Amino acid sequence: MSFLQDALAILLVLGGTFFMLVGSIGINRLPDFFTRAHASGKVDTLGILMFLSGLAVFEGFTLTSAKLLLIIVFVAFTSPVAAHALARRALLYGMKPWYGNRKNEG
Amino acid sequence: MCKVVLATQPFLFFNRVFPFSTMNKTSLWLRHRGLILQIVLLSAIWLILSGKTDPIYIFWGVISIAFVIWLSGKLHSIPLSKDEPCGSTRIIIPRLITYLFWLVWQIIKSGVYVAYLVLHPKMPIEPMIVRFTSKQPNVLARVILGNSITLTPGTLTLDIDDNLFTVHALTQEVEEELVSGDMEARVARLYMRECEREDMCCDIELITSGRGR
Repeated sequence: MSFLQDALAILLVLGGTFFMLVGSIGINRLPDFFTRAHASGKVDTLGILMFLSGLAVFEGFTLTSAKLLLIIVFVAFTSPVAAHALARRALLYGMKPWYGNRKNEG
Repeated sequence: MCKVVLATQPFLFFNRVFPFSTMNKTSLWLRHRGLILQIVLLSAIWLILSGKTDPIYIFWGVISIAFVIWLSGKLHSIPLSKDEPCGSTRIIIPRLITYLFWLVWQIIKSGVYVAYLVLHPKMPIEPMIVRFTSKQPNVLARVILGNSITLTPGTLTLDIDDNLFTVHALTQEVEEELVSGDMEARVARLYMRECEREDMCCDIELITSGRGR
């Protein structure tokens, strides 16, 4: 049982680290502000959620894991709001999105 | 005279004397559902964060909870948009719970999808801006929908103006999924008993080049 718990915790923490790394790579690779907001708003959220739930699994049923669950809930609710606030400001400021190189443009 | 009134209306009299009695429980629950849920949630948060059950901690907890409820009660009277108070319709709790589970699944899917797009060598993205109107029952439903759009794969809410949503989509596929009206209907069903999927998403406008704006 303890072995399974540790294995699950390690898997979740590794997965979370992977997604946070991919989020950072995405911020560097993607072409413009709005697509970068996608990378930071979604991939990073998933990474943090997996990381924290891995820590909660490692702790087991204690007060600490309850606190971690609380952090998970708050991150899940506030992270998209932050991404939306940044993107909205950018749009209202007049930043033009990147539309790619399409062939069938009128 | 008084006895006759009591005999014909014992129920009303009983309720007037003991407003918090068991007879009144269902209506009490219905009327103050938001308040009761708020107290339960805030107490749970306080207990988790403090982790102590000494009387002095409980005492400060009760005071903080009362203060927060007083503040948020004041917030409720401030309209979020023009002459529309917040939370005038009541949310359906079982649907909210299933919706939250669906949302967690969407978060996982969206993270994996965007990670795939980022790591793909050619990065197959064709960003576009989608505008559509969705008739949601109230302001809170619009907030939930905007938040959910950001959480679902490849889409990011840019602006909400009354019923007009401006959404940034990463690829063609996620745009089609967005305008199918599936998620809009899910959000609207949190507040309404019935709604049609086709009604929820109309006047779709795609902006795929810089000249369109």
